[in-house]
Amino acid sequence: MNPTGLLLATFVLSLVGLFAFIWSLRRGLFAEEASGARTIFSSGEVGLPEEPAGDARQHRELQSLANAANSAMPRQVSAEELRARQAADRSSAFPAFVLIACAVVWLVVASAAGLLASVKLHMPDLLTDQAWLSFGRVRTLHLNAVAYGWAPLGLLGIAIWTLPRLLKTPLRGGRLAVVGALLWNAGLVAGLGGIAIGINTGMEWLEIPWQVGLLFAVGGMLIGLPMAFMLQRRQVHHLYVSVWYTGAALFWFPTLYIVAKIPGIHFGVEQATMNWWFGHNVLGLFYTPLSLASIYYFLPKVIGRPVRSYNLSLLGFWTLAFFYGQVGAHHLIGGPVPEWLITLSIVQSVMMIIPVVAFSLNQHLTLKGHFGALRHSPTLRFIFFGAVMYTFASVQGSFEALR
Amino acid sequence: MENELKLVAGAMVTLSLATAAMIVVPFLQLKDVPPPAALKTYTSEQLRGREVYIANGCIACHSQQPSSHGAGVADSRRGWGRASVAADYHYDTPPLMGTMRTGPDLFNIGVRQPSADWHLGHLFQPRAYAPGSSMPAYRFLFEIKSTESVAKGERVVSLPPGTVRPGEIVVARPQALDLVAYLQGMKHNYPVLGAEQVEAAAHRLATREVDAGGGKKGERDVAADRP
Repeated sequence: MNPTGLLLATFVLSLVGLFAFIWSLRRGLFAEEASGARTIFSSGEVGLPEEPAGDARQHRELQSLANAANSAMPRQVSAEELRARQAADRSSAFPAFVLIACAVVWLVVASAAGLLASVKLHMPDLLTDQAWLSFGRVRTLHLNAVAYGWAPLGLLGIAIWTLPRLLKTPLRGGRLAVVGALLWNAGLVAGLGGIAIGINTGMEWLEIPWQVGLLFAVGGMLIGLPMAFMLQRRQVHHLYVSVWYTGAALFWFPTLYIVAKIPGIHFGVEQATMNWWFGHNVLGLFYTPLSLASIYYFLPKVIGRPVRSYNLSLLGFWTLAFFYGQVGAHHLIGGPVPEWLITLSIVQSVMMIIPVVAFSLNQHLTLKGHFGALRHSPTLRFIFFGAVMYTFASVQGSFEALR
Repeated sequence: MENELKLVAGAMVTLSLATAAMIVVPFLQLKDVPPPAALKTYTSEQLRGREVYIANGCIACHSQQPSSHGAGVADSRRGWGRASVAADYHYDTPPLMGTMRTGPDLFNIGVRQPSADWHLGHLFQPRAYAPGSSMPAYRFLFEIKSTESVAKGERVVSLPPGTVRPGEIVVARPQALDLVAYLQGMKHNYPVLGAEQVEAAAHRLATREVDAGGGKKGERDVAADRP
């Protein structure tokens, strides 16, 4: 049988399977639509905006906007539920602070390295007497400080703060997460130091050798386990869409990293396909779901209005899970890689338009009529800008993947 | 969705599908591909040079995968060589295929630039050979000495006049020599197709030419020739 036919048959079959799976999950969802999306609000809280970064005046403005848009006036939230949320916030405050503070430090380091690398492209004779300041190394330092410093630590910090709220249970084992963050940072310092002196595995996104990667594995596990255990002790019946994204990402990333780092298995061109399976899935199955999880939480919460279409978010999640995993080979178009694999990746890259549009449409519908809130909420401005950039960059990516 | 097991199970199934497609199947498909008979194994000097190539992130700007379509459509016209095949990377762990081309593809740089002097001088100061080049100078792979202080056995780099001050001379460090040995060995210009494959390809090419002139009929011929 010719490979194109086989590929097409497998693709159609798995697509049918995917939609059957989504359909099986949405049983009763039309009826429960509102209740699922309302999980993040306490009873009677819909219509009450929450802006943790705003001052009193901004709160007043947000509230009056919400009142104007909602015909149903908000009722009073029970003091007990607010106390429970406060307890959940307090339990996660320190670990979240540690993770986000480290992320910010790495953002500064990474940006400095990125800027230097960029300047060097224009001034190739700048700082050429030390090996560690050479373009190839500074650029690699920049990439790794973003990929293993800023992005994962910041996103895990947000996840560890939102999960206790989403599951309505205090974070236990926060100290484990702090120890994990320290180990992760130790691994990153070792890894970046190694790159600076020329210890490098030669694969993009995987430059840090597996011996140092063990620190990421242990540290990441210590950060992730308290979050995974919270799922078991949750006080909510329904898992909100942010929990799907965060939960899945917490299982996806370790799998990606371990498979990519097993020593002595990968060879030749297969190693290259593995490399881009990993490289792209770190974006698609770790950064993206954690980022979308925070948007799905903050955007409705800041304006005090539940996500409009819960079915769209379900579709968005599972199509992302299915399509994003297979797009990596579009980095190897024209390369000495089996042709069917590249074709598959191109097809899935274009299919990524489905989850991206599902997400963007959903956020747009949710924000519709509340765009004025952007003027009064710094949180919402960041969230909105990020969501819009995600949409643009993803659609651009789909088209750039074409042969 | 209420069931976290269904969530995690579903998430892992989708990832397994991706892993199967992108790692397991290529693994099975490629694991028994033999190295081309003409492909030389690396010398230990070249292997050390390969480590220098990796350590300094050359992969950020240079690919090692000429191709006949996609981004590399003009590669053979540039003289960068035939499209590479999986077997060419038999001795490469990891393969340094790269994804970006701020500089040229290096899979056949040993064919294009066989001279060690050119490589050494170009690494020391690319702009002495290619004005306007944005390649960084790799001065840390060299030592600048006064003409009198050169010891016996040191590799003096011959440079275009004016590259260094009068009375100074540039000596290559061992790392630079290793790297150049690796680059000089980048020759993948041997044939990779067997006699039968060449014949089949020639036949297909011929029918495609008929197709270009004669329309539909030729298209059917090409389809019929597929194994």
